[in-house]
Amino acid sequence: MSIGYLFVNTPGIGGIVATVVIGTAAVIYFLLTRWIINGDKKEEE
Amino acid sequence: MNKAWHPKNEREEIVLSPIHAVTNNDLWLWGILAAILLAGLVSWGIQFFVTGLSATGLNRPVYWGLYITNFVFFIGLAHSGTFISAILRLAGQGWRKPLTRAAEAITLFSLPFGVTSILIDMGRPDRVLNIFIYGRFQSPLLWDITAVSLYLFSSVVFFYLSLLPDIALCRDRLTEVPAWQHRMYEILSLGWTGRNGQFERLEKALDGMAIFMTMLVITVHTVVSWVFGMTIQPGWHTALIGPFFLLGAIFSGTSAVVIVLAILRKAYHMENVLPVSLFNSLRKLLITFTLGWLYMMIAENLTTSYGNLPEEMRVLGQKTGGDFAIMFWAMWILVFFVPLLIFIFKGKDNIPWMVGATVMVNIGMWMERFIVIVPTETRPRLLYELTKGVYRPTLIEWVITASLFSGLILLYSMFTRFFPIVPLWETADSLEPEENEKPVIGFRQHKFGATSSAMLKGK
Amino acid sequence: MSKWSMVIDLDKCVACQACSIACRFENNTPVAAPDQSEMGRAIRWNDVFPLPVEGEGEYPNTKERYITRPCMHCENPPCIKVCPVGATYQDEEGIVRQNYARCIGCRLCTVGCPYTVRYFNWSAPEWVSPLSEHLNPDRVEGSGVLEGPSIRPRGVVEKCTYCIHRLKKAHEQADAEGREFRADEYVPACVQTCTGKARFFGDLDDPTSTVAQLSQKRRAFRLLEEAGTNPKTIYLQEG
Repeated sequence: MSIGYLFVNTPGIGGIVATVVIGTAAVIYFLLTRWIINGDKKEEE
Repeated sequence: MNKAWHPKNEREEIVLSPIHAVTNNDLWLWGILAAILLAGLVSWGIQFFVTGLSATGLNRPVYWGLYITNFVFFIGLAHSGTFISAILRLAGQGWRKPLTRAAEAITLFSLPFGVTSILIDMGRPDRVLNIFIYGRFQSPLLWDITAVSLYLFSSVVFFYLSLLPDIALCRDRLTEVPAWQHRMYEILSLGWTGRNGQFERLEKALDGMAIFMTMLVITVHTVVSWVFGMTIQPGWHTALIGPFFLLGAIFSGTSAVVIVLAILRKAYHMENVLPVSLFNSLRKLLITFTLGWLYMMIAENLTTSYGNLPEEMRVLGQKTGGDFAIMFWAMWILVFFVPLLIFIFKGKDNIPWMVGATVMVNIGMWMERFIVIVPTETRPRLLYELTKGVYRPTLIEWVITASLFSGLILLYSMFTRFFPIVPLWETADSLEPEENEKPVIGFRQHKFGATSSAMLKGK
Repeated sequence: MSKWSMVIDLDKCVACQACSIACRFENNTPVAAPDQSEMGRAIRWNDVFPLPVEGEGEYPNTKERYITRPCMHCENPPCIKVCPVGATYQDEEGIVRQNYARCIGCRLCTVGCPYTVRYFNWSAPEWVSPLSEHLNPDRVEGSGVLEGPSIRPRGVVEKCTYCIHRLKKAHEQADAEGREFRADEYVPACVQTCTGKARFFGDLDDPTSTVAQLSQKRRAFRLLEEAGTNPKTIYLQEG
């Protein structure tokens, strides 16, 4: 029962992978949008 | 300094004109589309609350039918937007700029209906969360869920970010719209000012996302095909199924873009914004895709028939001469023979012919999805003798299918009445000679290097 | 651990279908109305049907061949691989199980099975009198578990379980009597009922068991061996 076998077969792990992938994307996109909107604030007088 | 800056675009008037008023024709159109959508909802309600999937024509061994066909078709349609925006962006094809939003809107609005089709097909959609609680990563369905959800999410973000400067434009230019609409622009524009290097950052982000979206496009439709390919059923279990689905998706997606563009051009008088040259560029791509589709079909069917394995030949026989022969050969005519002739001989500078061909392509591609799925099911390895596996879709299945299309068209046309369908900031004239040419990945020239310096000069 | 297996002697089978009927009653299989059955929606965990014959010939020189087919309970099942939620799984004794409580009805397992042994509940099961008064009360139920003859809801997949409830009952009986469980106490309904005494059941890992010895016979074969599924339902060829 290698770790690889357990990873793909254990119920629940797949759900965690899907959630982590989408969740990470959500966080990245939020930060990305904020970065864009904030622009290069240093340029303001 | 608080006033937002918008790049100058001489086509602004025309592009914004559809937003100024919702016409009576619109209301009629939306009403009819909404009615069809409602009929679909009612049909699904009957299926979910009353009859279960027994209301369909599905049976043993044809366990998957119209709903899964729709799923594959709508996900495939979604590849149009990503192909035009992301892939052509990376390839530095500047002619794509007026098209990007119109194409991505197809992606944005067709993906949800693809996902919905799965929920409609499930025996227990109320247990959909089980996929997250008990999900097994060995299952191709989990790969599907992950990839398609990520794709949907990323498409929304990509679309929204590309739309952002134009929402701000609407906020600032469109003063006579209803108050709620103005408020919507205010909220959605996230305080965009177009200053402080926002455009620079936006371009960088979109470049990065374009790379990611391209990888997603390839992954998503391949993974969708593997739901079939990872079984050992004849007709499905072929290494070619990934590329086959992928090409089909890009083919049907790009065809959909042609149809949509032609309608927008006519309905909103955008002959100058969406010139014939765009259609000619798409035409060249479509010729390539049509020939690519031919290649796939030959590779698949010649290999199968030459090998002559009995279980494979039974399935192929169903397609070429059996229960599905009419549909199979009609598909060849609609997807290949007629469109190729039209593209080559009639399509140049001729939008009506292009639309005719691409409508045929999409009808044929829907049939192609059906033909991949159902014939294999009618000739299972062990049961083929007993089964005269017949599938006759019921009214409920057809109504639901129709409602998916009408939902897509409804959302799309409503969108065009509230947001500019052509990206104004991306097609803007340059302010002044490019001072900061920043090539991205060596492909593209950065048009808004001028932004920061313009701001510094007090414009 | 036991490795449960079934051997079916096609020479002795007369295709009387008593096995199929016994299975339906034992496992509370829903009844299919004539129009539903016509469509191909009848559920038959054990099915009896004609097998294709090489060189069928014309009347009166025709050949017929029938097979009775429960689930193969493969050692390498294509169905459990594709289940997204683990509603179908293989236990340590080699039985491929189906949990109706978790199944989402996606039907990937049903299209994935090369033997077409899986069935789907297109509607909620119904029985009319007198059938409704004679349902098998045996249940395999627990928290988040609904298996075997338990009444299943609409929208889930089901199939032959080698009468898993009888295994459970045999274990419980042995425990109650304070003794070891014996493999020959566990026998699926079809095996028990077979009029031709064509079906055998037992532990393939026990070299003294009938199934282990029969599986070594020259006549023994498995369906679709080339598919690599390694089924544990083994047939003895006619002749």
